[in-house]
Amino acid sequence: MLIEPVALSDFFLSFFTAASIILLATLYAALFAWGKASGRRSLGIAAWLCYLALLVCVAIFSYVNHFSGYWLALSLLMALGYGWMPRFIWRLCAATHQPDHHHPHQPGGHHE
Amino acid sequence: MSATTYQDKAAACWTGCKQSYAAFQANPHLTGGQKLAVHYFTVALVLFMAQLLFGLLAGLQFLFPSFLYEILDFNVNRMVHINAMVVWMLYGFIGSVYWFLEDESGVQIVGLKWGQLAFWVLTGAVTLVVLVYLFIQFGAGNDTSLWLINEGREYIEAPRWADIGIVVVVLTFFYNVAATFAKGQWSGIAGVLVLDLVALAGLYLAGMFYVTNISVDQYWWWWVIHLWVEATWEVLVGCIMAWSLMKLLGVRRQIVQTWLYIEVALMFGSGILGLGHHYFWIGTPEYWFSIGGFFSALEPIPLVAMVVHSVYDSGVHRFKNSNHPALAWIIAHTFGNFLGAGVWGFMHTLPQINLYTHGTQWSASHGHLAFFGAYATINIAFFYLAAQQARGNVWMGGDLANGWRWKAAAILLNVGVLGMTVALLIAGYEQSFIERAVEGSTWAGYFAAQNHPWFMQAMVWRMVFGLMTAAGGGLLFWDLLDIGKGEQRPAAVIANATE
Repeated sequence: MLIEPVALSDFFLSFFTAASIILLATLYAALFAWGKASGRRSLGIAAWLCYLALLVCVAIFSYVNHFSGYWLALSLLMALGYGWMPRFIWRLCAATHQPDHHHPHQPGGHHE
Repeated sequence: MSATTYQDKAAACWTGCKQSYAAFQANPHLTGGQKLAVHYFTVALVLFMAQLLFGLLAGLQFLFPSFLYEILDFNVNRMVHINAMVVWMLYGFIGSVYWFLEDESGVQIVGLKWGQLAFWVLTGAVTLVVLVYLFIQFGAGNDTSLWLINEGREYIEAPRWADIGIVVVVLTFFYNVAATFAKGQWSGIAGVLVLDLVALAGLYLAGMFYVTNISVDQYWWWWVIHLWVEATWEVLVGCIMAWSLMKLLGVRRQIVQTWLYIEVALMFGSGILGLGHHYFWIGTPEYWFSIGGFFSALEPIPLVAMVVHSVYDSGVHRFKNSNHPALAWIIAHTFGNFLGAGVWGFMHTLPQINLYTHGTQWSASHGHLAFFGAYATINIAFFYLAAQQARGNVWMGGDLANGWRWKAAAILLNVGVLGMTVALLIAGYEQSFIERAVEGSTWAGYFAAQNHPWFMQAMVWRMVFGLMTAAGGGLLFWDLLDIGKGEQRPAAVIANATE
């Protein structure tokens, strides 16, 4: 078989770290964006801590799932992707909203 | 009461229905396309209620296996539960597109009569198929039953005559959309939508031919189940979402179209070959482990990107909106899609863990939250947009009369589905552990897991949350019939940022 299934003792750890990877990636992305939007340095630091925790989860996940060779490269790519994507998307958001500065949103009447 | 009295009551009811329908058709607040959309939304809502009802019956049969045995068996209840879901989603999507088609293209729908005919044909066919499922679902399968009763493929059990009908209806829908845009204005949303509808009709064909090799059969079946649902539906929802964000929040067209293109690119980049995570254990070559694992790991990235954009946009737009219930359901869509498709999906897609979890209640847990989060929520948001416009584009902001109703319905439905998801996750974990990992996928392991207290307790909790979901569904139905009635204030006006 090409893959070695997760050991019974690591079964819980495997899916728990898998879920944590996605949740931490989201928390990292949210804190990163919030930090950028508000200009608060503490949020930026919290974002980096989340990313650090994400890296730990990726490492545990890779270990308990017996990743090696190709699968290990996949883990690395995933960790890099989650680190880079929020930065890329932030730049994209800023770029797509650029004309807002020239044509600000009108109140348009009755807003809540 | 005598038979004559019943006849009189039925006649009065029929007359009342005809009068209500005539009043609806004369509604000056709706365009022809929007009236057709409301037809689709109405049937979608009825099917949603049917999905909840048959889900409850199937859930009860886990707890009381003899309940309705040989009257309405588990396999039939489950099949109606799932097929009602698939079909009400389609009704909701088609209705949503008809809802915005004239606004987006700037002209009237080209083949409105054909669209109306297709609606009644589809609704008649769906009714007939459900009646056949409920009353003629016994006996051996053969070539005749494949054409007339059940095609035998899980989730897409419709008999072949109905399958052909679905493709014809989707092609009619495609004609209406493409021809209307061709006559009016094209936009980025229009282009993506038209191309997606080609795939929507085309991919369904993969589930319509029969092969005797079960691996080959499953190979093509997943083209419908994964590619149809997780690719073409996702893009369709992306188009619907893009338009609704412009109308509801006043987001600029450039922004939503940029995101739509990115979503399509990511869908092609990860979603299509993510299909591989279904090919692990069906007898396909081992390279699917690598392809499925790699692209499945990439699939949640767009969801993470969406978070960054939400934070950015909430700062820019401050959630000013014209329809509170619709916005609440779009927010529910964001969270539900992320948790159901992203977190729950990634937990068990890699083959190292999927070996144990494939086909257990774990899949059901993922499926419940993903379908509800990604698709049901966006349809419900459109139901509220339609209710608002049908009542004369009335106020649907704060201090709405009976506003508790939509809030309670939203809470009950979301908490109910999330509760069922967690309960099924516990059941799935127990199954994976005892049946697969400890007992090595034996029959003894299967029965040991099914009778384990963890499994039974989880199923009890699933039932409790299922009842909560059904209560939320009932409240939603009531609210949609009533919301906005008697409201005199006009809807909040959001800056027209669609140019």
